[in-house]
Amino acid sequence: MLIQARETLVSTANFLTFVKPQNVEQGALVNGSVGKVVDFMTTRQALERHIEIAQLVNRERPKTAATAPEIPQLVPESNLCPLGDTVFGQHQAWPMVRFTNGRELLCAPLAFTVEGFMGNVEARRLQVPLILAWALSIHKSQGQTLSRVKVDLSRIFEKGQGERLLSHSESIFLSYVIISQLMSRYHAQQLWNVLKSRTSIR
Amino acid sequence: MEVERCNNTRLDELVGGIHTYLSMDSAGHDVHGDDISKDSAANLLTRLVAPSIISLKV
Repeated sequence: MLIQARETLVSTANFLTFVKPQNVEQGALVNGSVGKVVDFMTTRQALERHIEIAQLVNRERPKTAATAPEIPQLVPESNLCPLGDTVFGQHQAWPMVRFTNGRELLCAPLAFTVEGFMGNVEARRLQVPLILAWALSIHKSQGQTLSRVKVDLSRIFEKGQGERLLSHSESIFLSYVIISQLMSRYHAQQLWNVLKSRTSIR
Repeated sequence: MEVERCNNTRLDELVGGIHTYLSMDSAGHDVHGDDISKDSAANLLTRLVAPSIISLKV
């Protein structure tokens, strides 16, 4: 099952996903903001060109809004045990993304963590906070804010999967819906009615 | 996987130089403060939306 961003928006687009929206200023970028990689550069080059940099916020040293932009902190926290040999370097080039809202951001790695119920960090991944998003699975699309999508339900196999698309967004604009041939006529009609009543689909 | 194949095909069509990023992963501690094994941590990380490897082009 595919959720596909609309052709016009994403001919060369990559998709950004921030798992920790608190790392970015409110309202600016969210999980699922769509953009396009326009360049690759180091954090220093980005600073010189006054391009905003995705900041890795370290728990022990929270960055206050008033401080000047710094080179992102890429050193692993001492109490975590590294799983591989990867070490990010200060001279590494990161993708610079232009988002559909016009904002440009150097997407240096951010921290993605799996936490226990006590807030303990069980595992942590530092990675460039982007995923390719010409196509997305419905599973991954949950919790994302997508403005335009094409939905392929041609291999839908469970009642309710189509409706799930709308669980987080009432204003989603669906440009295409391909309904499964396997779906019963009754279910297809029901799904269509739900989509029609809650979106601008035609 | 269908989604991955679709994205990789589109990525291949781009002519820019490819930049590949491998994630920097680490294991932490459970609620009792005990170390989480490397295998368990690696398994936990598969839940994340951020992939262990991502290739991008302009």
